[in-house]
Amino acid sequence: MKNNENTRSRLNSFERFVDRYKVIIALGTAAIVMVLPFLMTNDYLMRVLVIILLYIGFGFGLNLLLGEMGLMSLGQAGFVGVGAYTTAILMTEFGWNFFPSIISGALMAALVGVLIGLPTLRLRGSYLAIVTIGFGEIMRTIFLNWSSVTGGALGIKGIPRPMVFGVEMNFTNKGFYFVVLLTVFLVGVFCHTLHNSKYGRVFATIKQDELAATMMGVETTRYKVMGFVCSAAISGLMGGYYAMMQRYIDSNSFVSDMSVMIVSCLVIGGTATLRGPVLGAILLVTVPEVFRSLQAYRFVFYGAILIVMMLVRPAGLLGWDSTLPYKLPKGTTEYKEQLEKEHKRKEQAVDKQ
Amino acid sequence: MTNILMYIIDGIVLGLIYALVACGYSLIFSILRIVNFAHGSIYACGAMLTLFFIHHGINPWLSVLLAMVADGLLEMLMDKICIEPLRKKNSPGVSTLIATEGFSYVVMNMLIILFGSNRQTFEPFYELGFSISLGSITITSTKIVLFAISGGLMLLMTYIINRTHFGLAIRAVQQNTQSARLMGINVNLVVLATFFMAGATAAVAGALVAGYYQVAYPTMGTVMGNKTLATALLGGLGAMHGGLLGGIIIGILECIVAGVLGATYRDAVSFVILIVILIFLPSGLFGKKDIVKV
Amino acid sequence: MSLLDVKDLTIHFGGLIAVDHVAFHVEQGEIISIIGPNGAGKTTIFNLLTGLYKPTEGSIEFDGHQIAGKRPQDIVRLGMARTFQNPKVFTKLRVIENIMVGSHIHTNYNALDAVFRTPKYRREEKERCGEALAFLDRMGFEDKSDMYAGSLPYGDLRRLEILRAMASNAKLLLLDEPAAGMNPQESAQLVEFIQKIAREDGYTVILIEHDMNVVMNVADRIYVLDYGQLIAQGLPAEIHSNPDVIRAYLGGKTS
Repeated sequence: MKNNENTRSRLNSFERFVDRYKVIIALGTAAIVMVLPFLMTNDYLMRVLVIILLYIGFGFGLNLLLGEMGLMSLGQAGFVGVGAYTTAILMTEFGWNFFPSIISGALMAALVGVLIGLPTLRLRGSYLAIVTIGFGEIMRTIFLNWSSVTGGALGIKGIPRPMVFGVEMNFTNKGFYFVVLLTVFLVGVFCHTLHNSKYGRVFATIKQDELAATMMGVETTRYKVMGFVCSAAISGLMGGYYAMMQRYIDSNSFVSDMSVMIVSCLVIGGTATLRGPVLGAILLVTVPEVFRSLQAYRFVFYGAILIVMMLVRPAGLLGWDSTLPYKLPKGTTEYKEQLEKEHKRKEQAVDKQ
Repeated sequence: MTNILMYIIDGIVLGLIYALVACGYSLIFSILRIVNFAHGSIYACGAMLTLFFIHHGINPWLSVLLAMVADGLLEMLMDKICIEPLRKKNSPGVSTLIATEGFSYVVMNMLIILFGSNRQTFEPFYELGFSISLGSITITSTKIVLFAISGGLMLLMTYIINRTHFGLAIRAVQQNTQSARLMGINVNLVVLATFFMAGATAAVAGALVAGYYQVAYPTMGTVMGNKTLATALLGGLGAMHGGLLGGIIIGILECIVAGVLGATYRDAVSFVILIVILIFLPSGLFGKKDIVKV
Repeated sequence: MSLLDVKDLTIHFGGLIAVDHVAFHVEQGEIISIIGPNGAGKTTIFNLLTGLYKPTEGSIEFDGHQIAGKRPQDIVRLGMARTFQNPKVFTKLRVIENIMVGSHIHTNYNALDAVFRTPKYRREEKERCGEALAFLDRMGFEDKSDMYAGSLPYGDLRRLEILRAMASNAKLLLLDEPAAGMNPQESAQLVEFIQKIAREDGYTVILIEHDMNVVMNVADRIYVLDYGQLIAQGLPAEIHSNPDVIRAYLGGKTS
């Protein structure tokens, strides 16, 4: 207990420090992510950076389900695949520009999310996880067997890199990195605003006690479907970039290995936060790259992370409840004072009678 | 007509194996209310270990026995490492789910590291070289042995659970863990023994299926895990006789679909069934409906 | 017209009749207590009123609406909110967030408003949050609004659950054993609190309670249940000396 309080108070001073210097920290981080690509001397290192960004995005997507609502999805690769295939097909077969293509990819993934989400989200816990495994496998079977659209076992080759104002965004000119960075940043802002609104509150109630939420009038199924659809759309969007990065996709690109790695990123970094997936993706992408001898064991490593984190720190390395005071929306105090004045006036009126 | 009869016979033979593996899910679910996501990997581990022992010159049947023990111990280890500590901490269900999925991943990828990810030929060790003819249908000895062993094991499990002292303890823990503990039952021991049974039956099933299709590989548990989960859910998680019926239904449907539409759609059958049951009949054919209590 | 009018309320679970043709009514501003031995069907009645269970037969008229068989969410919107035997407060949320979940049904902006931080979103968040703060101040929680609900002492946790129900602007509050696990001092405070919200703030209250001190002090009228049936009703003094009630509590043959 004492120990716990100590950690809380240390956490509190840390959080106050971060809060005080948040502008400086934000500018510093921005400077680092802007400069970092120019320190990467070759395409391989650039590629690692982009993979980190993609997994941060996948992590944001899963965080909406697992982190915010406590709903386990082991089929995220299925959504990534839908986005990737849609984007790839639109760009190669129809010659679309990358922007409408990835947006269509995200929308297609969202549509699949609705189809899967509507009937299954009344399910709880393990049952939902089972359905998502089944979903992932079904998507893989479709990617493999629907040859006329997906190219079957041959996959789709020659997916172009994004063109912005006639310039190809690739690894060498660092453009691809910045396009993905901007997207991940926007996705992060989206998740952040959602988290700090009534949606975040409702998601947290679903995670803790869905029945109690229902009894407070929350249409839990509607919120779950919404979260599911957003998660699918984010995964699909990042999937489009994944296809452009690889330039080649086939059904083996979107197997359960990817789904489990996404889960591991979130679980090690920290759930119900945005900092969690960022740390998780950095760790899980770079560690196997740095220790090449571990390559063979990398999936054992991802699995072991899941076990160890659940035992030691289920909320993840960076998952903690803020110790700072609740952040009031602008104008709250004034509104409260106004309410209190009205209340007093009413009471006085009653007293006079 | 002959075809249909053939599908039904093949379906029953496969269905019994599915039911045997599904028992592992059901047993563990009935006492702990968790779905063991590592069961498929442990099944694959049973097949690979049997193959390993056979390659080291051990008699095939003895190899199966050794694999059973090893797999049983592996499931017990899983309980000790990643389920019991969470149970003691009263962690939310999703933590256990993630931990078992992690364990599954570790086991599967260790198998890949140790044995390589390639498909390996598995000698049909229970091919006894005879067959029975029923009119135009021939039933090979492998099918008969498969049927006899899995059927026999199912009967044995039913006997253990319904007729022995140990079975009584399991049923007591299923009903009410707290009262069982107060009555002097060593709940942790019962849980461990249940995990052992689940692991051992999965190993037999793994070896038998590998011998039937004459191939074994580390990822063979993924599809099987899903199929048998569908089996257990169709029967109603926790209901053993339900699992038997579920297995036979899925086995027969699979054989019909594979025969009529082609083998690529074989594995899709169980996924479709899985999703349909979860949506329309979440408590399965024989499972108990939960009443919400507040 | 009564605020709540229940007729012939019945539910079967398989062969078990948990609630058997129960009828009662509650007037605006009353504090009603439902008592009875364990397993008498008290909580089941709450579950039926709030839409968690669908009645096998019977009618429930609340504030002019027929609510038997409606979904919980629709019933909350009509102005009925409840607490639970084991408090179902969101312990990982802060006190103020719990209250804001309580007023969720009056928070009407949509996802696009939230993402683009439209004026509607900002106004509603400001208003709900300000109302929650003012409400907590009035109810004696002023210095606790930032705390995580899980770190509250037990008595406060139970009161917070009542506050959360009140924040939905409910007319009728259903309190399921609010004094369970409280020491005499805490339950005395609770009695005062329930009387205050009924007399001053105009809430109507039904409470299930085992603590007879609480019941006798706070209730205007009492209904007694045994084996799913209503065996007595009346003023506290009448119930106190009713032979059927004494028999139900102390055991023995019921005629």
